[in-house]
Amino acid sequence: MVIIEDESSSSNRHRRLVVRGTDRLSTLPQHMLTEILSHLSTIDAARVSFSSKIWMTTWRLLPNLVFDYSQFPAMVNKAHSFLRFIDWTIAHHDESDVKIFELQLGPTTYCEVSIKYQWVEFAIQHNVQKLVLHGRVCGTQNLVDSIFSCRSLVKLELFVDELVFSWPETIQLPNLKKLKLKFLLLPEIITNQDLFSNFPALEKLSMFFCNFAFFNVLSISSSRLTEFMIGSPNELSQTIVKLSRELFGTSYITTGRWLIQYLSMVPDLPRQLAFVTYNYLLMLNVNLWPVARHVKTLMLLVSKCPNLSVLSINFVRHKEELLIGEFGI
Amino acid sequence: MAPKNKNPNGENVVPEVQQKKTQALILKSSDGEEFSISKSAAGLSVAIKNMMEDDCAGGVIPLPLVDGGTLARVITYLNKHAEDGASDEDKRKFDEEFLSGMEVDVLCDVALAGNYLDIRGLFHDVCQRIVNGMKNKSVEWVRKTFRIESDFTAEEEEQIKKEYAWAWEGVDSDAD
Repeated sequence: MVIIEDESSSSNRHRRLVVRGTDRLSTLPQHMLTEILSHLSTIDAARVSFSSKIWMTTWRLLPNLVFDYSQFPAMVNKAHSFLRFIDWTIAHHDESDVKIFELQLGPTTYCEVSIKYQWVEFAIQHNVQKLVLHGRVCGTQNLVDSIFSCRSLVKLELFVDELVFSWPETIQLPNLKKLKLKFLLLPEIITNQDLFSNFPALEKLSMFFCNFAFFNVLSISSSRLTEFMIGSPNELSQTIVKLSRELFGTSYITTGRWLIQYLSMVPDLPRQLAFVTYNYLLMLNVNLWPVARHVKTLMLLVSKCPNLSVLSINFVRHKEELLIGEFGI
Repeated sequence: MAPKNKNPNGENVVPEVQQKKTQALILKSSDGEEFSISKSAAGLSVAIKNMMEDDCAGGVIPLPLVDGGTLARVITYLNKHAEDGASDEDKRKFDEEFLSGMEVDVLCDVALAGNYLDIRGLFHDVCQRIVNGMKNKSVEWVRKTFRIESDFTAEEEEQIKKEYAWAWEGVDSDAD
């Protein structure tokens, strides 16, 4: 019996799959079919689901749903077809959990489809563990409130253009470990509120291109945080970022220029830090201007980190010229 | 048929790494073939490992859901993955070569065995191998390649094609 047809003399990975006789694949147990389909992109999986009823049934059980506009075939009425595809998927999904739900509807200059509240609600009702929303949204407050009460969430990425983000009054995210926020507009809130104190499991936090312009103080504390990143210091404007002592339980910090800049503005810093040691900090990556005041501040900070093994310093000059130095200690 | 050697006593032996591993046990397939395998290789199957811990009599583990041909393939895989000094790159190359030679029916058997014996890596690789034949392919292509017979009625078929026309767009040409 011939098993393999070589398409050419090239390598084995180009060998074509050959099936002889009957459809053996469809006789596999349902959970194996689900697993096989899970190895495909959501769009390819949908194509397979149109081949027969058993694959259509499998489609309804799929635990990972990633709707990526850029992967959708180019065609007339693309936006409309894509929107209907998501609606159709959600309408046909059975009761089983959705572990991963991603809406990649960016860049918004190109993608005409906005995130619909019902789609996100669907994911939440199906105990989503990883939720990624990238795009544009209309009518936001319900959305944010719902997401921030989703107890099953482990990873959350919100890259939502110009989302005016009112911090919800109640936050119930007991399992959230990883949070990424981008492009959010954070309006004025009670400034002494510690935004992240209600995230008991949070390990990784990053915020990029978020507008904190109205903040006087941005407090960040979370006892389990091991990685913290914040970008685009310009938008911090007059904001002072206050890192709680617990945060320095973290082993890796990357910050913008602001950390040293603001620390250097704290009156009588040596006395304030007199009894502080950051025992867990192993890697510190900072930006600073090479002026005496900043260098002194950095030296003070480093003297509080007995276990620091890598210190990366980007010397920021005017016009964003960078001189990058890295020192092993 | 299954690649296997016979030792002077007429028992089936899967080649490689046998000498080094002193501790061995026997796996018995559904059709009564017996295969010798080192405990370290067998332990890569969570199911066999559990059975070893339950201490099956005489060191013979019956696997009534796996036929001899499939079991030989699974053992070849386990031996490679238990091999001392085989780098991850070696294993990856081996896996690719190992699976690329199998037609879909055989892949299904190996997937079933991988699932039953709880060998996650093998099961995962087989799934990947199967879906590689589905990526960016038309519905007709998938049906033809995997001998899937459409059980939609003509009306349903037409409706799907109309409603989800995108699924017929932007795929590799079927002549590929």
